[in-house]
Amino acid sequence: MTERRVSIHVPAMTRVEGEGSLRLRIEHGKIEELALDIFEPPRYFEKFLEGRRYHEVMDIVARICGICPIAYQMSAAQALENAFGITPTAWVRDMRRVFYCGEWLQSHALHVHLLAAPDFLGFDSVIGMAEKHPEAVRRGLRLQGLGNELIRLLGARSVHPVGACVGGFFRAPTTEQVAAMRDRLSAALPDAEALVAWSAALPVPDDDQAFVNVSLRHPSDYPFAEGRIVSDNGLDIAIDDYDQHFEEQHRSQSTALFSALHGEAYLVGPLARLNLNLDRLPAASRELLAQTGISFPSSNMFHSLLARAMEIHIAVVEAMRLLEYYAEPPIAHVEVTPVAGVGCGATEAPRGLLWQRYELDDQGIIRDARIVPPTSQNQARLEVDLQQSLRAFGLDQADDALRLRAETVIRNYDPCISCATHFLKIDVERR
Amino acid sequence: MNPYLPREAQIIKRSEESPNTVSLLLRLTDGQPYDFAPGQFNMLYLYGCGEVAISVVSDAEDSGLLMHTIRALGRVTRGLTALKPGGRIGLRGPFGRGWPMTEAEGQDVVIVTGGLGCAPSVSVIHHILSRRERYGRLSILQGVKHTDDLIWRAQYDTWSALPDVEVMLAADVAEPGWHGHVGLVTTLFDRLHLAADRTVAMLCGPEVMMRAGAEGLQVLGLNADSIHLSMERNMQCAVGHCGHCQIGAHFVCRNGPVFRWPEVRSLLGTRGF
Amino acid sequence: MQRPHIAVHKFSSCDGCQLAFLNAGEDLLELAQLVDIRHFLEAGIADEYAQVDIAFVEGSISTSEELTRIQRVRANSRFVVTLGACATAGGLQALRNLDDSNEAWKHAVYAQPEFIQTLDQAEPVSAHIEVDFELWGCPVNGQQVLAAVQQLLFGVTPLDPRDKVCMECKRQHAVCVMVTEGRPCMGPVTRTGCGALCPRFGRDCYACFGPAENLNTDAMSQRLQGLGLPPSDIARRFLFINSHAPAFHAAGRPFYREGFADD
Ligand SMILES: Cc1cc2nc3c(=O)[nH]c(=O)nc-3n(C[C@H](O)[C@H](O)[C@H](O)COP(=O)(O)OP(=O)(O)OC[C@H]3O[C@@H](n4cnc5c(N)ncnc54)[C@H](O)[C@@H]3O)c2cc1C
Ligand code: SF4
Ligand code: SF4
Ligand code: SF4
Repeated sequence: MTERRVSIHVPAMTRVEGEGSLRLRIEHGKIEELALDIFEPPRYFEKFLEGRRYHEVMDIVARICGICPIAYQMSAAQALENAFGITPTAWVRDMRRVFYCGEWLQSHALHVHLLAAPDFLGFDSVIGMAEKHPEAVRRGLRLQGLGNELIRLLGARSVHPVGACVGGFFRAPTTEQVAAMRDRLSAALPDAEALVAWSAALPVPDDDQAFVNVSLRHPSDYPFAEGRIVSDNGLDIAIDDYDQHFEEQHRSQSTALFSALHGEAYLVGPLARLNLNLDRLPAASRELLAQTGISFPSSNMFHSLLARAMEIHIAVVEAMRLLEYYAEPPIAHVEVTPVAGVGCGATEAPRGLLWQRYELDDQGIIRDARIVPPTSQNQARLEVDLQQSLRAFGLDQADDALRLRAETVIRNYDPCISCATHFLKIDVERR
Repeated sequence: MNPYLPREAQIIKRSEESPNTVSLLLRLTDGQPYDFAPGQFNMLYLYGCGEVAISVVSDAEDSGLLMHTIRALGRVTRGLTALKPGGRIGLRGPFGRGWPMTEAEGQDVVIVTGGLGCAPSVSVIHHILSRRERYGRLSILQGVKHTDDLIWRAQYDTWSALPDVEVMLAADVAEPGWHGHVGLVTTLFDRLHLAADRTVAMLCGPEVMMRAGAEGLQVLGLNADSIHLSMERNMQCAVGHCGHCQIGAHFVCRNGPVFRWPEVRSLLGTRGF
Repeated sequence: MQRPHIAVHKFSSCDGCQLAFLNAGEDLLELAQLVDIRHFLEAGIADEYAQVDIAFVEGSISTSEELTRIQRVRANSRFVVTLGACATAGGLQALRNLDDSNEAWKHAVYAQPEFIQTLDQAEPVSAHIEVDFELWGCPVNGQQVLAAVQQLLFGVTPLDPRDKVCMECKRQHAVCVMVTEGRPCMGPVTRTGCGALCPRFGRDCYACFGPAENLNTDAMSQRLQGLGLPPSDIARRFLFINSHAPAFHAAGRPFYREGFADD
C-alpha cells in the first residue's frame, strides 16, 4: 500500500436532491475521516406546524420536499386520521395507493435516469447521456411523465398536489379520466418491462455488505401507505411504537439527524422494501424479476437501482389493477370532526419509511409535530457503506476514481437532503 | 384558413429603415396562397411571447412574399425587430376592412399620414402606382414629429419624381438641412389644389392628427363620405371577440381598421373611447 | 450564434421549483440544445462560478453562506430570475420571521444549536440583491417557467400576469366555492398562474401564488369574518406560504397573535 495522504472534498454533491458535501481523509492507507455534511439550511417545519389547524398540515408538509410531497401528505393524513379515530373508505385507500404509485414512478424514474444511471454508464449528467443513449433517456422521461400524470389525476398538479385531504380526496376523478389513464398505463407497461431488463444489465460493482433492512409490511400487498414496521432481524411493530425502537442523534457537521434501530445503522428504501416483500410482489413483477437472473434478497447496495426499476414496474401494474373496475364513489372523503389526541402515521416514501406523529387539541390545532424522513434513517448506514465500499474499491485508487466511487455510493441512496433538514426535537434527557 | 391558427412565416430579408424601425420581408412556409387588400393587417406572433397587429405594406400583387414595417415600441415589437433573416414567426391574417380601392378608381387620391401611420398607406401607394391608369392624381402628405422619424426617404424621392404624383413632407422639428415644410401636416393643406368633387382621402396616423385632417379636408370641400381613416387600437384576438380594440360599437379589427369619417366622427376625441 | 448560458441555483427550498425543469420531459432535452446549462447541481452540472446570461434562483436566503452566494450569483449573471414563493417572497420558512423565532426554534429542534448557522430572518432574494424578473407560485407552474425562458431567449421581458385566481375560475368554467359552499377561498386576492387548480378540485385557494395586483385585502378579511372565521384563522389565511409578501403580511398582521393564538 502506498504511503500517501489523500484528502478529498466534494464541496457540492451533484445529482442529489438538496445540498450536501463529503469530507474524506485517507492517511497511510486508512480512512481517518469520513463525513457526509448536510448543510441544507434548517426550515423548522415541525415548529411552524405548531399552532396550525389540522387541515393545513397536508399543504405544509408537502413543502418539505418537492420530489416526494405525496409521501409527506400520506403519512400526515394517516397520523391525523389515527388521532381523530377516522377510518377512510376502501375507495380512498385504493386511490391513495394509486396516488402513491404516481409518486414512485415520478421519483424513481427521475432518480434512475437523471441522477443514478449516468454514474454506471460513465456520464456526468443526463444531458451527455441523452446523446449516446437517447432511447433509454426518452423512456425514462416518458415514465417520469406518466408518474406526474397519475399524480395530476388525483392531485391537480404533480409538485405539491392540492387534491388530497384528511379523510380522503377533495374530488374523485371521473370515469372518463380514469379510462384515459388506464390506456396510458397499459401503453407504458412495455417501457417499464424494458427498464427492468436494462437496469439489470447495467454494469454495477459487486459489493456485498451486511446490513439490516427495514420497511413496512402489508398483510397481502406490496407496501405503500399501510402496514407494520418490520426488519430482517426480527422487528415487527405497530407504527405507534416506532420511537420505542428507533432513536435520533444530532451530529455537529450536519443539519440532519442520524437514526438508529436499537443503536444500529439500518437501511430503508427500495432495496429494503424489495428484500423484505418478495412474497408480496404482483405476479407479473415477480416473473420479471426472476427473468433478470439476479437473486433477491440482495445485499449489494448497487442493486438499489434495479430495485427502483422493479418498483416502477410494480407501480404501473398496481395502478392498472386498482383502476380496472373504477367507479365514481358517492363521497370522496369522510367528514372530519377534530378531537384532542395523538396520532402516528408511517408510509413508504420513494426513499423509504417516513414516520410522523402529531399531538392536537380539541380544536384540531397542532400542539406538537414530529417528522422522521427516510434520508435521516439512511444516514448512518450510508456512512458505514462508504467506509466499506471505499475499502473494497481500494484506497490506493486515484483521487478522481475514489471521489467518483464515493459519489456513486451516496447517490445510490438517493438521499433527499431537502427532507433531511427538519427533524424531530431531540430528547433533551439524553444530552 | 383557420383565423385562430398562426401560419409559419420565414424572414427572407431584414432592412433597417430608421434606428427603431425595421422592415421584414416574409415568406409563408406552407406554400399556400395569401391574398390581401391594401389597408389590411396581420397578427404577427413572436413564438411564446405574444402577437401584435401589423399592417401589410407590400403590394398585393407581389407573389408569395409579403412585407411588414415594424417600429420597436414595446415587448413584442422589440423582439420582432431583433430577429435575423432565417428566423421564423407565426402569422394570422389578413384581417379587417382595407382601403376603398374600387370606390377610388377614376378619382384623385390624397393620402395624409402622420408618424408611422405611413405603414398602412404604403400598400395603397404601391397599389395605385402599379395600376396608374385606373386612378387620377396622387397626393401624398406625410408629417412626422422629428425628421429623424422619416423612413422610406429614398422612396419619397422616387415617388415625387413620377408624373402626376405630388409628395409633401412636414416635420414638427427639423434637423439642419431639412428642405421640407416645418409644422403640422395639416398646415400643408393650404398648398393643395383639390378637385373636391372627385377626390378620395385616406388618412392614417395618430387620432388627433386624423381628426384635424378630416375636418380640414371637409373645409376644403371634400364630402365626408369620401374621407377614410385607418384606426389603430390595441388588439388581442383580431376576430371581434375580445373587445380590446373596440371603439364605441365598432370592433376596429373586424369593422375597421379603415372607417369612413362619419362612422367614427362622433367617437374620435370623445373621452373614454 | 453562441448559445446563452444559464444556471439554476438552489437556496433554502424544497427543490420543487427546479422540478419545473427536471419534470419538463422532452422539453428539457430541447432546452439543453438551445442553451448551455452551466450550473444545475441536481442535473449533475456543477460550475458555481460560471458567468451566465440567465440565473434561475430557487429558495430564500436564510444563512450567511447563502447571502455570500447570492451576491456572487448576481455578480456573475446578466439576468437573475427568481423561481417560486421561497425565492420571491421568502416562502413557508419565512414564518419564523413573524415572531423572530429563529433562535427559539433552533434551540427547540437541534441538540447542538451552536452548529446551526442561520440569519435571523428567511428572506426573499430581492431583500439582498436586485432581481430582474420574479416568478411566483409554490411551486412555479412549469409552463410559466418555460414561457419565461423562451421570452428571455428572444430578448423580450416575460409577461407577468397578475390578475386574480377568480378570473382564472371564470376562464376555466369553475364553479365558485366561496359563493356556492361558503369556503374561505383566497382567490380574490391571489395572483393567477396555476389555472385555478384548487377551485376546480372543489377546494378553496390557499394563496400559494402570492398577492395579485390591485387587491382588496380589507374586503377579503371582512368576507372571511362574515364566513365565521375567528381572527386567528384569518391570520392563518394570509400568513401562510407567502407570509413575507408585503400585501399579505400587512393584511394578516392585525389578526395575528403570537403563535396564532386566539384572543
Ligand atoms: C390595425 C393596426 C395596424 C398596425 N400596423 C402597424 C405597423 O404596420 N407597424 C407598426 O410598427 N405598428 C403597427 N401597429 C401598432 C402595433 O400593433 C403596436 O405597436 C404593438 O401592438 C405594440 O406591441 P408591443 O408588444 O411591442 O408593445 P407593448 O409593450 O404592448 O406596448 C408598447 C407601447 O405601445 C403602446 N401600444 C400597444 N399596443 C398598441 C397599438 N395597437 N397601437 C398603438 N400603440 C400601442 C402601448 O400603450 C405602449 O405604450 C398597428 C396596430 C394596429 C391596430
Ligand atoms: S416555492 Fe414552494 S415549491 Fe418552490 S422551492 Fe419553495 S417550497 Fe418548494
Ligand atoms: S372559487 Fe375562489 S378563486 Fe374561484 S371565483 Fe370563487 S372566490 Fe374566486
Ligand atoms: S388555487 Fe390558489 S392555492 Fe390552489 S394552486 Fe392555485 S394559487 Fe395555489
